[in-house]
Amino acid sequence: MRSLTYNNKRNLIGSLVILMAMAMLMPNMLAAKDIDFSGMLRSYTGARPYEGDVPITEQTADIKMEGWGEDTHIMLNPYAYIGAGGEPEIGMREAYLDLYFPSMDIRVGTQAIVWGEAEGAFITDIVSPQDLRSFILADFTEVRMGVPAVKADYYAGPLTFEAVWLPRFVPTDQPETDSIWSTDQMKMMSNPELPSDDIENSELFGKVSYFGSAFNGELMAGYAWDDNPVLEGDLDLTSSPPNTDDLSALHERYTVVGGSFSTTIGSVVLRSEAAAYLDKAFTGLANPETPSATFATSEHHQLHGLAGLDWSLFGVDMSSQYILQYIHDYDPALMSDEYDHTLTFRMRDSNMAETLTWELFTYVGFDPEDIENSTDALLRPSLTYSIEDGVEIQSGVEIFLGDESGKFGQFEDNTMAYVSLRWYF
Amino acid sequence: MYKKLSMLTLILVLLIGVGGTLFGAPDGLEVMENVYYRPSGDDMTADLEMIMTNSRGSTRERSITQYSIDTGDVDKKLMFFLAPADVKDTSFMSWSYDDARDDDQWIYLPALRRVKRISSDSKNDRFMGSDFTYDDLGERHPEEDRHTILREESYQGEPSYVIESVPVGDDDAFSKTVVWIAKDKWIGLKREYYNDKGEVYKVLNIDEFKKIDGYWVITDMLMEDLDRDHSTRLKMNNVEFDTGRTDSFFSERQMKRGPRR
Repeated sequence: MRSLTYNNKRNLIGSLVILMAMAMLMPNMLAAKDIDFSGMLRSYTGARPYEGDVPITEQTADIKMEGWGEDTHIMLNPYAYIGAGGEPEIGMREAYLDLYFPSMDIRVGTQAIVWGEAEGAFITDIVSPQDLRSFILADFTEVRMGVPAVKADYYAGPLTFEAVWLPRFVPTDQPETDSIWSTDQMKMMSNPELPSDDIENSELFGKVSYFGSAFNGELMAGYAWDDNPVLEGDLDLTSSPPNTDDLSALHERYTVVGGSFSTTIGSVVLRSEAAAYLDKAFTGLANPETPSATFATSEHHQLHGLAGLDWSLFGVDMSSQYILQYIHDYDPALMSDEYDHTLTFRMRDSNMAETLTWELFTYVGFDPEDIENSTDALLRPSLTYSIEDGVEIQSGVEIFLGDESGKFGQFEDNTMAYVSLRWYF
Repeated sequence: MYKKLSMLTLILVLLIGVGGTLFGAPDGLEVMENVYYRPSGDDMTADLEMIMTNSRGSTRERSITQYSIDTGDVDKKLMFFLAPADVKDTSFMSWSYDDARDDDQWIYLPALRRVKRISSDSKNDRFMGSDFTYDDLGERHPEEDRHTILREESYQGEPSYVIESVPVGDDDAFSKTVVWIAKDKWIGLKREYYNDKGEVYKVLNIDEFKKIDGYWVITDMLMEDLDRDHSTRLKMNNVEFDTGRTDSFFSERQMKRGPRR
């Protein structure tokens, strides 16, 4: 599912953080009264019929070690991948300590944080960066990266107040330049400048949420770094490949405010989520025709919204979402579109005493003004059979099609059939 | 005068006699209300063990810890799935209301790390692949059916009412049920489920019930699906009543945290 080149972005600092976290947590684990080990082993093979190759043969071990004290909980979640080349990737997905108080919980350490109501989209859910080395095809647990953070939740009846401090910025992991998921634009952004670890470069997020019978709702705000870098400088087009010596990729600050909501109307669940990214930096291409293309950034507000429905029809779980992104005060030189429309659709059902599950998840990108030429899609049908308790085999196809310049259609050659075997313990 | 008094006395005696018969023997609805409102404490905790057996005799097991509370107008239930490993740490919460409102239901999926509100339009769906539906595991309100006492008989040594219950609505998987109710304990001992053809397709047998903390509770039952030749045994262990658990336990916070605290 991923390129197995070890991601070494500041891995020295990351390793030190992990080691410090483990040093803090191990005594608690040893002293904990209740210890639990669980995990998952997975073998995954993916073949591309258009290319006639088998780019993915991957073995994964994902271990969870948890301990509970009177008012504490610790979690260590190491993982290891071994790919076709035999290069191992070993890391710590999460390593944190929970402190429980009567009306407050505090979590300290490397943790994945999930906000919002969207499924397969990230709108207010921007606290944890993403691992996009396999595009968006990785399991949900593997798409979100753990980040060193301090999180505090205060509970007041149906209200929860949450504050998160990320002492240092960790960007989204993009595909390596030799990955089948790397695009030309990603290659130009492959080594972005990262902000220093000074405290003024830390990130802050806050959220208040309501949990009740009538509805669930969240309001959030954050002062963050954009996980995706922007480009500045010149790209020399006279050489092949283009010379990027005068081109810089860097991350910029922005402020985000947003919220989400879900309720039930009859037998249908209605979900919505929206966020405004204020003064977010976008890359513009000033002169693409000259021997050296010039990239420059400009700041714009961006709106990102979603409306979704979940329902059941003849026992089949269905879900549909419409997602819109809009850039305010748009400049045609920007490399991003002013409007971005996406529809998602999911069907899922289990049969044979829930041992056989079929699912179809679909993303469709489109431009309402030119649907015929702009539409592209990712179709993800899969079939999962539970061989016995905790052991399942899954087979499916990731089908990319449509507009070759679209976010899904550009990966048409990566259309892939796969089979995976999972063993949970 | 004496004759008139004697006649009046006779009429009163007859009225009292008939009235005694009328008010002493409950009708079907009253029997089912006695079952529904049987004292069950303010809150309850139990470990559930579910063993599913298919037609080839192979079995699968599920382990669940369940908490429930009656807050007066809302019954809240919180279930934590402990095994098998692929569903471990999943939790499910439902709030059932005494008025006509639909249940509120949420599920926490550890893979998503998110508590999701889900539709309650799934009462006929199988619970975790078992032979129990969500409706079977909930407390069906007596007014959802029309009840008739078919007869009284001894069943498993217990003097029992045999009640036929026909759903009022049209959204149930069965056309009627017949249930055996222990007279003095107000516990169901057996239930037969009938399809539209009037044939029994599912049978629930109560194999063990006991008095715990002063309340009668079913601790071992077997649901047999005759059409699929599949059965599910549900055992309740470590049952405790009136533990003092408060309403605040039944929360999004607890769904994510798990059952340990």
